[in-house]
Amino acid sequence: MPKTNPIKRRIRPLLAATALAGCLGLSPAPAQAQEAPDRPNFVIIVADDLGFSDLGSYGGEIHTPNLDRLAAEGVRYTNFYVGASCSPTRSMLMTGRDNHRVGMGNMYEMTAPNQLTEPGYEGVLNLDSPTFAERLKGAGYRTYMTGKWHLGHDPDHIPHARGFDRDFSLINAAGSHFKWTGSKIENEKSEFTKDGEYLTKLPKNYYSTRTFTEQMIDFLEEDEGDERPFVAYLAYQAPHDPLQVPDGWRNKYKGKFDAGWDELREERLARLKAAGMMPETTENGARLWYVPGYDDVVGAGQVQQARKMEIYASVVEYVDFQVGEFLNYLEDSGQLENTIVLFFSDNGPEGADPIPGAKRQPGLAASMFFANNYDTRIEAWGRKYGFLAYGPSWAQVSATPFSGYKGSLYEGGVRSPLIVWQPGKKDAGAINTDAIMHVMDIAPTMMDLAGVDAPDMQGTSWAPVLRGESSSPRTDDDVIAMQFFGARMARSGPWKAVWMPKPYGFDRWELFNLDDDPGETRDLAEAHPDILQKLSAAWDAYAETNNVILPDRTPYDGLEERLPPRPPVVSPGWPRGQEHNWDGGLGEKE
Amino acid sequence: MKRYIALAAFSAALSAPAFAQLDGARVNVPLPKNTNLVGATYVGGTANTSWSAFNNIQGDFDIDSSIYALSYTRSQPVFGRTVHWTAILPAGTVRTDSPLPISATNAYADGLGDVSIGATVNLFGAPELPVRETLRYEPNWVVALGVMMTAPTGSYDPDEVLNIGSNQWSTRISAPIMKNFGDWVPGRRTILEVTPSVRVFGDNDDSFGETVEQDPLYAVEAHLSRDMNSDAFFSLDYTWLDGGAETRTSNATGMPAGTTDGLSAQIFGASFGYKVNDNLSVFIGHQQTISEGSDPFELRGSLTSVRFVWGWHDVIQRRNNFLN
Repeated sequence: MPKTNPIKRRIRPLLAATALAGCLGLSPAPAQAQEAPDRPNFVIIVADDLGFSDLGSYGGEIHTPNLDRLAAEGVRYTNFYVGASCSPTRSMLMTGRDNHRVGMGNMYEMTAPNQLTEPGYEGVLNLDSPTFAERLKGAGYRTYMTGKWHLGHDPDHIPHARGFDRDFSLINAAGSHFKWTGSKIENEKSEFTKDGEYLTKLPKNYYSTRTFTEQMIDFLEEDEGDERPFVAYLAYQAPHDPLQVPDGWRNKYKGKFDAGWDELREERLARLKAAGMMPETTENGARLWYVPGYDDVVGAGQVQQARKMEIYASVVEYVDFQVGEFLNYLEDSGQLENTIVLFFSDNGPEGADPIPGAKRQPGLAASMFFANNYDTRIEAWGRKYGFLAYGPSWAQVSATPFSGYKGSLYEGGVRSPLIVWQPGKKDAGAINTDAIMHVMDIAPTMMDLAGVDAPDMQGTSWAPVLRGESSSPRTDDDVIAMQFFGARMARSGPWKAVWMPKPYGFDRWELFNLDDDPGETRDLAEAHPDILQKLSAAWDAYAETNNVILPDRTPYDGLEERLPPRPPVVSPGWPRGQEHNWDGGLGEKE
Repeated sequence: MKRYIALAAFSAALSAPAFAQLDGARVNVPLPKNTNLVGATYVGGTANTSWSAFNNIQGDFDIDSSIYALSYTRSQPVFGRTVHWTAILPAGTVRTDSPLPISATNAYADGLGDVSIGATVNLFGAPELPVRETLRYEPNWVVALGVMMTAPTGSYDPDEVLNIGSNQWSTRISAPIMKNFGDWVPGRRTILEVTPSVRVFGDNDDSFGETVEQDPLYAVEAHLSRDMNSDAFFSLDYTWLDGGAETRTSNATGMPAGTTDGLSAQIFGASFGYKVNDNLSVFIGHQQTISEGSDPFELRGSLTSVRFVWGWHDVIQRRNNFLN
């Protein structure tokens, strides 16, 4: 993009777009463009199911030089919250409002019977809730999206209808990264749209991560002469399962994880502490009781398990590679200089694996879907026709130092890495452990910086933090609260109350001081009943305000009977139990 | 007499030694460490020969051989490299129904053949493979060095044209090369194998009262195999043979007693492998020999082979026993 006079660049497109939108009656949102001193571009890069500590700059051993560079030139935040699962997070990102208000009170796929007809639980991003794309578009921004949408597939709900000028989108939650094949029998074939048209043919050499990047670059290249600012939402599907990666990448981590999940978690925690990203008092969340200690897995069983993480790491590194390609394009084309770049994950790492359960019930059509569409053998892992999910043992590594993973309201499910890069490399390399932030803040932050009035948003703008005027957008009196699948949490300052259903939790409130104990290993509910009472009351208020309807059916139903019993004392050294995707190992004496 | 020796040599090339000479498809695929394979092989060979240069022998010969062989292979790494140790014990019969010009000779031989012992050491592409490492092993190029020694232990009568044993030591040196194309996933594998080799012979010190010196026999064996499904593959096979000319010296006089030209032949064929279960595999192949036509004689023949291989690995066996 050629360099332009920043004032001309700011005003001319704004006037033109405002006039055009007014003539066509296109302004769908209550957004109102205001005079702003500078209107930056926004780039929002979202990974899917990436863990808190997977990036090198967050203590991980996965090679992520491009994101690490972004972190070195930007700011890393360690208290950034997202939803516990995909589409609710995306709905909050899109709207700046609580997911229970905008149609994603539950995931479409998991809506409970008592939520089915309730407003706020439509399973799509409802039309009453304007997206940041609609608001920014109304304010003269160019709006682009490539990647995963998962907020509705009807023509009224696809990205082009929700404010994106240009899009190349996977409409569904997941699927093959190489072709049309969906992720389960209810979603046998994926849907894609481009610029509002449902696709019947995928681009040549389609691979989600690569193609989403290339499409975004194409969009921006085509509009390089357009002087309006832009927002680019690059929503990678990776590293969501099935874990697949182009040839040549699959074996990059061969043998790198043979030390196993227990040692890896300790190493990551040590690096996080050394970097000042976690307090010295941090202990890793307890290993799930049904995950064996890695030393209790023998011979080929260890390699079989390590192979899962090897593939996962390759997928993550490929995401980093494509982020690098995109950032290089922005830099080389001169568009990075007025751009704020955000990178984060939509939720915690995925610990569930559908394959073992499917294999136990081969007579089901849902099981045969995998047999007919994927190769689940180890030799096929990572390939374009293979299906691999890396399971709870490695998900806990990705979530280091936290307890839980995707779906959980323990920190592992909802704490995401967040890198914010600002023009001029402001505060380069800083680590902010004070700011308590939420994905719902991103839309209001963009509105704030773009000079768009959006009072109906519930998130809190980060603009003061980005400008260096404050270390956090919230005070210790502010509360972040969420509800997912019946799990509840409320955080205020260092304190967090969390109610996790059995068997992962105890069907009661627990209380943790996250300043001392981010791993949520020491329940302080009995020691500080007053704080717990305050936070549980805050959660009640949150639920009341946001029309939270606790589901009468959840993924936790019956799980206690299906998993091995919990030991009376949770000990990382306790060898009992098997993870539910455990295929059986081979003891081998060399 | 020379031509009988040549005849026998050719027959042998297609029968007992051929078992060692022609490895077969996917024989050199690296095995997990401590894998055991017991093979039972039948090779039925028919040689049709027609002399073209020597006028003292008229007419064609039909020589049929039925060779049975037991083999044992164990993958036992050395210095961190995959090594396949192999022992082969052949036995069988060789016969011809064609009239032999020397009435005193038998048209039939049977008994044990020469024992072969050897090893194939991987040089590149296949480090030792504990079972756990085979889970993530994906060969690309694999290059090995093979040495197989054959001892003159087989049944041999110096006064007979046809023998099962050779009465000579020989050593085969080979360099199996394997290239995997595409995905190393059962049902999707495509493998090209090329094995150049040379067999050097010791003297046969008693053949009709003569000592036979034999030149090296060179060979290039190639297989292009493709999985048909997870348990079966099909292979196109090709072998080129050249050499093995003989020089005979009279034991009584020490004087030269004549020479015999070597072989120059190409063998085309196809084979099929099928994994019956986790332990048992069967391989069936047919090879058709087409002479290069190198004078002084033209050789034709065919081989049909059936091989059963029973494989086991203690660790895998224990696991399977447990799961079953």
